[in-house]
Amino acid sequence: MQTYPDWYLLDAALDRALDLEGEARTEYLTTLDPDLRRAVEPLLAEALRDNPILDHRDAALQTLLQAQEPPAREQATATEGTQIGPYRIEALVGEGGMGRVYRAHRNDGTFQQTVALKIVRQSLALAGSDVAQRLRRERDLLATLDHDGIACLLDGGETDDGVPYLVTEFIDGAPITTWADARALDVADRIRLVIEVARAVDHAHRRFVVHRDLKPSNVLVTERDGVPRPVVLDFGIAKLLEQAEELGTFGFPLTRTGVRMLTPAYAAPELFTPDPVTTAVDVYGLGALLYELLTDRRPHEDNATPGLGTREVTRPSEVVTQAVDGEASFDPLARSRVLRGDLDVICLKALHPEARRRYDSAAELADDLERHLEGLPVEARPDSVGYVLGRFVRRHRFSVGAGVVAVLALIVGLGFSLVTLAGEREARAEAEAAAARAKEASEILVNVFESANPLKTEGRMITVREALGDAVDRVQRVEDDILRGYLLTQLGILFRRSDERVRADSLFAQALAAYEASEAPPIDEMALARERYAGSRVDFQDYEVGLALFQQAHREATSIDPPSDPVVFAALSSYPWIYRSLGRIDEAIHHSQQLLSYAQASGDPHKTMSGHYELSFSLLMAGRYEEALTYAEQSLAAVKRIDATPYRIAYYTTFTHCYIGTVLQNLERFDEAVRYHERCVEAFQEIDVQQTKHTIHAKKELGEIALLRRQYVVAKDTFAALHRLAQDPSFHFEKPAALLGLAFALNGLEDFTAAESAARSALAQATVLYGETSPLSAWATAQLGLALVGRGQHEAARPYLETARSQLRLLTREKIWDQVEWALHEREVAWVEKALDAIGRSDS
Amino acid sequence: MSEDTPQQRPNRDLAELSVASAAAQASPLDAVFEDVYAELRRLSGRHLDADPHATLSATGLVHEAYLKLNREKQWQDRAHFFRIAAQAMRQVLTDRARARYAQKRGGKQQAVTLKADLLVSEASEENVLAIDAALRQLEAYDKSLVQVVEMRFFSGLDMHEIAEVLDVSPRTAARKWARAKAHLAAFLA
Repeated sequence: MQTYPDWYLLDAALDRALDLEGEARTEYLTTLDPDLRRAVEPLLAEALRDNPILDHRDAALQTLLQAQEPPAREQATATEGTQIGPYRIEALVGEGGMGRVYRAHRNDGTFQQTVALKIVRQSLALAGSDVAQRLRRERDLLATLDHDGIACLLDGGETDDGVPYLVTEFIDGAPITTWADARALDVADRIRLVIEVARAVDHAHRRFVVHRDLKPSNVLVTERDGVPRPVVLDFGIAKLLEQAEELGTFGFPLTRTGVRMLTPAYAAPELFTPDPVTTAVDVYGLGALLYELLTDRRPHEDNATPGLGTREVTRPSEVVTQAVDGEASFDPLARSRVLRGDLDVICLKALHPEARRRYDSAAELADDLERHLEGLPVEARPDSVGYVLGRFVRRHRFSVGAGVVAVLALIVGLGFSLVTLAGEREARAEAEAAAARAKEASEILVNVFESANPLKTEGRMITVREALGDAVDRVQRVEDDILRGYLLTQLGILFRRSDERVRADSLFAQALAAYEASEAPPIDEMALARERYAGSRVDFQDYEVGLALFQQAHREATSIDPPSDPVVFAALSSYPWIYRSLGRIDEAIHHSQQLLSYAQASGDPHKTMSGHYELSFSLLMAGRYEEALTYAEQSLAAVKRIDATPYRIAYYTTFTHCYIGTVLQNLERFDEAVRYHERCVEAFQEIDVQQTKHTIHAKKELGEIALLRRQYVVAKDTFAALHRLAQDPSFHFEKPAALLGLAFALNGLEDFTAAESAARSALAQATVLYGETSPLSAWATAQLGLALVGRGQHEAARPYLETARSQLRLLTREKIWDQVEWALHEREVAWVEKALDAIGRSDS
Repeated sequence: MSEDTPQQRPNRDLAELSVASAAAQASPLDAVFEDVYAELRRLSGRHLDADPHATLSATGLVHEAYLKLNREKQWQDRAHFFRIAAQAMRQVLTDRARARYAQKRGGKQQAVTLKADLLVSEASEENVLAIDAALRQLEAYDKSLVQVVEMRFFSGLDMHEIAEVLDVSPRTAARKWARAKAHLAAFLA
């Protein structure tokens, strides 16, 4: 309870006491007013002791950071005709490896619904809590499936006896083959059904769910408003069962993992091997469905022994001509003619014994079937043709974890279609479709790390960053140049935004190389990649290369119709900066004027703001301060015209104020300049965005003005604060400047020991970051020499001072455009000369 | 005094901002918090749902949320982000505690106090709710102390990170933590 009336006084005393140690603390406490002291002492004790909760966050938050603990297990039994949760069992409708399936009805007063309720086999239920947990986990995963073609998971739980159950939509329909035969559907309608099923399966694949047991009895067709709707049942159930069985704690009547539960006639051969299960098994399953729908036969006979599926299936056009028992529902020869060609190869590709030679995704199978229906050439080609595309697909294969296989298949699949589009057809519409799909690919890629799947990492949390790295690896192996270029650019942008500049730079370079390697790169995309790479080079102060890249991107962006405005504007607004950095001020002014014309023509106040600002800044560097101020004020006027959130306006305004401060200090209107900078520090804290960056900037200006005015104490504090801010890894590049300012101030205060240490650090870091001959290194060398002279170590100082003298001579007014910096530079030169004179005299 | 003249960087940013102005609108703070909160909740929910055994790493979540939101909103100030995220993390955990607590008590609201003597796992919800209430009291006096608790206790940041976010020395940050502990203990006594 609060015992002392003034909390702030109490807290201040506590703070002070904590800052002191031992004797000093005791002494301090005795100086306090007795009431205050009585209140502070227990607080101090609390502050110093190990708090059993606050200091043990992991333990304290343990249960909150975990999911619910699994409920205790009870005796497990289940019977039909009873109430299970809110569901009343109506009839047993099926029985399978998993357990029994009932039709059940929910009627809890608020809403009514008929559902399929699956009760897990007792043996599974008894397998232990691991099974229950996996069930729950799988259930949650399945709950993410939301597609008309998938019987959605509605609920799940445990019976009063603790037996797990799943509740799904009740599909009142017939197995797909039965349904098609009953209606004597023609080939095209049968294909349409399979396309729909494939789309549904693809939906699940994108969410990392593989069905594993696609077969007619799992795909029911219902009719809604006269439109047939195939619905896939039991997604993921097979995997659940296999997992349960792998736990091996119970006597499930199986001899080997999963084998007996599968239906050999529909099961992909690799399911009989220990290889990881991928989405390719569902492509196979879809192929089997298609095969049966088209030929009325299964790809392999029912009695096939597991593992025998390695042989190729008979071509559909051939198999239909073979004699069957009973009556065929179609004319064999007519059907054979329809199937020959495309449908043969599509079926064989989907049913290929080698998983890696099937379609890369269910979507691709669907696409190919659609192409067939539209009379377009299909992607699938018989192996014997040795088609280029086949090679392409094979080259694309790389081993991947099962978790992301769906996404990968999709990316690779897109690469596949892009190549064919670029190579075979050049119609613009197609190219646009390709671009749209590439964008989709990148979104999916983004999803890869968004949903970096904890199921695949043994409970270890995979960080987005790890997943990003992973994505980079995979994208680098995408064969198609254009798609790779596009994806690498997108990744580069992601890395650049999270301030990983080195990585972003390399990605942009690779993206550009990818586009350049392609025969017909899309110019707009390539210009964007080039512009990004240019910006990145400039980030690294590689101005010449950056300039050349911007110029080329600019040319590319204007060569297309309509020109790419973002790229053009990015290039135009970068030229002034680059030319300034290269010391080519006249060109900087010229390009600033061009930027301003472009901006004014656009009528966009954002751009006008930039144009005025760039021109002002270029003029400032040319020493045309009055003009610079005029344009700075116009930039501010443009800010007022920008239509954006008040927050953003505040940001631009503050930014421009900062800049005006800089112009004012060059006009030697120091008092106004300081006011502007100080206000900026406050305003940025208030706006609270990019605070560090701008605070660093404003503090640096304030520190330099303080140095210039010989307010060394102020300067020391300012640069010390700056140095702390620069501890942020994103701002390490500011450390040398902070340390240099600190050394300068400390030399001014004649605290030479501290100055020496600051100067040494400044020199070391400036050399690493900016090179030995950079102005920062020259200045730091000078400050180090001066500090050593101050400490009386004349001989040690001499080489530094001499190096500094020769380096400082090279720094011209063009390089040091800022008045304040120039004045400080001149002061430093004078100090160096004086010091050299002094030690020269003392030695002679 | 630096070669890397101060105006060059903001200059570049300004250009970028103009280009991306439509795409990357920054939000007012309330909306920012809402975003971070929603994201953290989504992430924590997802991790827990996916694996009931997993123990969340609050720091990991914050980090993940940063990357996600950075993509959308272009956060360029990490410190600012972490301050907001820590606040959101507190909210996430408090909400979770409230829900669990309500579940245990059949929805009945009760006054809660710190229960360090009980098994932590049993007292977890109560403790977090009690701390949350005490923090609300503390907030009236000194927000920065509240932030330290959010970052330290709720988000697991270390003192160096906290010092950076608050732009103070690690020593000062440690002192703020000690003060916060003392005041919280007093409020809870």
